[in-house]
Amino acid sequence: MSQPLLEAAGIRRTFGHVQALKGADFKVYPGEIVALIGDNGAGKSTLVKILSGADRPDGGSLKVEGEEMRFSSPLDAQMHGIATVYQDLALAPDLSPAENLFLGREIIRPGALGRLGFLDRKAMQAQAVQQFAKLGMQLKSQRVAIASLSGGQRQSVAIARAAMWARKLVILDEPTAALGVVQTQRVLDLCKRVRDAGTSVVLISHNMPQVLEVADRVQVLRLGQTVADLQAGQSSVDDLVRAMTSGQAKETSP
Amino acid sequence: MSTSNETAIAPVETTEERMLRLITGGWIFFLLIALVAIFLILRPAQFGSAYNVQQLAINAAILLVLATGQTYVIITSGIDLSVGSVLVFASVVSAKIMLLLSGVDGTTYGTTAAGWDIIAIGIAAALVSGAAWGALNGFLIAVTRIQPLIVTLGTMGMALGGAQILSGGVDVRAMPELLVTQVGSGRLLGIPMLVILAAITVVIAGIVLHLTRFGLHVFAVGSNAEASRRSGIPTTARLIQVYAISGFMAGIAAVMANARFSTTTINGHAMDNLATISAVVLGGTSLFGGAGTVFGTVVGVFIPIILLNGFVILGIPPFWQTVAMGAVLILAVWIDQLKRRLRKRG
Amino acid sequence: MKTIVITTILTSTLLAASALGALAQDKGTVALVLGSSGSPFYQAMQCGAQAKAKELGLNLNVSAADQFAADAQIPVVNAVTAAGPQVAAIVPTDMQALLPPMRELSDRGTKVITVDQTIADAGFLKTQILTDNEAGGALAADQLAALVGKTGKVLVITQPPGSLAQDARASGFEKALATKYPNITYLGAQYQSNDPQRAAEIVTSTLSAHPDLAGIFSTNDQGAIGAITGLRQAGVVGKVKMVAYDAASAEVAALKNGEIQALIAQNPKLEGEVAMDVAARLIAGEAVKPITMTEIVAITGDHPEKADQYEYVANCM
Repeated sequence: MSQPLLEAAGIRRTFGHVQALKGADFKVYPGEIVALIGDNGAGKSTLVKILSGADRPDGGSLKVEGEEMRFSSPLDAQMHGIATVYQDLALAPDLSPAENLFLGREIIRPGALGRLGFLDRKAMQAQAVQQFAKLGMQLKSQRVAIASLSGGQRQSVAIARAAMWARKLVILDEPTAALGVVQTQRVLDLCKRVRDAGTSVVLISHNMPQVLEVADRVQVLRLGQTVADLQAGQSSVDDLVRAMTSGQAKETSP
Repeated sequence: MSTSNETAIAPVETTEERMLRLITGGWIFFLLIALVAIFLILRPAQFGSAYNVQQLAINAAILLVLATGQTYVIITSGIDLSVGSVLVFASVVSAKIMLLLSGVDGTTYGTTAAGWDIIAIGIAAALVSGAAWGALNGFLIAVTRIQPLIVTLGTMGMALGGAQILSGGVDVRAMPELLVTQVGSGRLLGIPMLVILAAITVVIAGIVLHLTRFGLHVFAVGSNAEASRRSGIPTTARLIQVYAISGFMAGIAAVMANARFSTTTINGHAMDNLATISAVVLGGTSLFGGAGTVFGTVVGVFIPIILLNGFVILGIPPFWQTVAMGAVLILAVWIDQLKRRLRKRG
Repeated sequence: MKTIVITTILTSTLLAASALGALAQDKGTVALVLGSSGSPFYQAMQCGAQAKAKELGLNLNVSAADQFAADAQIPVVNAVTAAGPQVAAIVPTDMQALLPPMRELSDRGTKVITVDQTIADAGFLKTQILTDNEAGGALAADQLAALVGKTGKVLVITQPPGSLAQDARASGFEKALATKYPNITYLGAQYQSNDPQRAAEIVTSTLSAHPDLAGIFSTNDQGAIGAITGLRQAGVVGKVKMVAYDAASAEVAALKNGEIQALIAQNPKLEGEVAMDVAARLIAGEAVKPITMTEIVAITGDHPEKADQYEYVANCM
């Protein structure tokens, strides 16, 4: 079995009197889509914040490709290949898809012009087209402000951006929560293509059928602890719900 | 494994959408052309005379420089009400320093014999004091998070008050002769120096805004400051820089004003802030930030100037000019909103 | 999209339509550039000029910037220059800054006269229509001295230096105080730039520093209105004597109410009429005197009918 890309063991996190995480485990292997599910208050967002570098655990270990790691910030996590797309997408609505892809990482012209800060829009555009093509995304116009794209397309741009700069792992927080049926399907297809292109995906979702459809594995969090690690192909929605609510793993069939 | 057919992404834009984009983006330019055409047809010899064209350009020059700074500010979804006051402050500081260095009594009229070295120091003083007020604005807005409207309202009062304290409320009327004749009324290849200065400033500002990384950051911060911050763009620094640019422009404009009027104009420039904001908005820059062009601002500056000029030549009572300007401004904001709504629907 | 195009065309057509009215060009063309729009003094001047122009058969265009400031007025003067009238009557808002544009106007063949204010170098002007502002200031000093019993503290509220007329009023007042009324303590001049709010604040602060303030002289109507507000706020209306220049309607009302004790009135309507007279003579090629004086009168509260006579009424607006 290959080494996990990201391995969190026994993560503890307390806020004042509240123990949000009491020893949560999480594992992601290369080339897979893992779903993280749990009821409200199970500790999902806390765990995600820790995995993405926005927060630090009070206890437990975090390893990236076997190496013990403590992220100081989301930017730090990104440098180690882990990017997170939150629900607000963090996109600039007036900028084009390419400009959004390169937000904060703009390509500048070589030579003297570059030192003055001149942009190489052609290069950015070309690389953006490449990235979108790799992920099978079709946008109706490359140069418009992304505010004129649909919610699903905007989500796709955010995911494409994350996948571009974080080659190891992309964490998606409820990516389809605000989308309609067709757009949801597109985003889930995109997740699969991201995985196929070599980047693992962690999907946080409340939607059980969706999870089973797209994920390879499902890890269930309950009351701050990981209570189940199930293969999606061998589980049903009932199994997931039972794990979430009672902490019991799949019942062995009689 | 299916790879749903995507090797190339076709940038498809229907003709209808293209026309729409052009019209809503460029309508103000058509309005400018229409105005010029109308006035030319009605009064060709007067409106179209070389003299009039030059005066229009000269009258636009100072406001254009100010409005360029305002463009940057409004693109970050901010606003700078202090531009007129900072201009006045910078002009007083500049004039006083040049006067001091010329060793001339402050109550003189007319011009002094100061050389270019003293003038250079005077110019530096104007630029530095303008940029300083701007940086103060930027700091208060970006670091202490007070709203731009409030901050610049405050600095508007402070800068003007500062100018009045420094000058005792009395305009400095003794400017270096060289400044007034070479810059104020001087020409290069037949083009007024003031127009050349404005043109250079505007072109550089346009290049920086539309072609450099810094410029893209300005748009990004205005479009979504939080997203920019998370992407590693130094948003606080950018905001301070943008407001400093606006102040710096006011400094340039102050030098131009001193050269043009041969006196500081402490009681003037009271409406410059609103005039620049109108020009920027008319030009298509959105008050909500994230979008705009320097070219649009150029068009936006010329519209009220041409309107006033044409109205006076035609003998239309001046009140109509303000009425017309107000109507055009409302039209411009309405169209901006329309653009945004259409964009969302797509 | 379509709506926008149509609106643009409509706006432009409206502009054109309104402009067509001003196409008549065969009579003598005269331009009048006021100090600012929205001022009762200049509106009265405009009315007088327009009535006289009609009588004399002149084609008069009146224009003004919306602020009494050089940077606002110069574009208007430039436009008038481009229009090329035969005569231009201008109220210059700054005696130095307006020199180059007005000289240019004259160089291009327009005969230039100044009205009410003037410029530092009058060499190229055909005439200056003036009131004796210095005498007006001295008259104000006489009035105020009489009101305060020739003793006590007095304050002057005026425009910042740069407007010859205002400067002359203030200096005329000060000179008269110095020579004729030694027992009066002169607190000096405070500047408000056509800002009644500022004038009110000046008055209230002065009263805090000098509760025994005896009298105030305001060199224009905006200062007077503001000063009265200040006096009202402090509750000393009538106790502190007010003499104000100009007879705008608000001032006349204040005179009748006893808030102002004396007005020094000019006759802007007459100035406008004289300007048109001079313009007609210039167009006819006649010579005119370099300076034309118009009257100033003192009006006290016991002659309300005189106040009505000289009130700056803009009944043509």
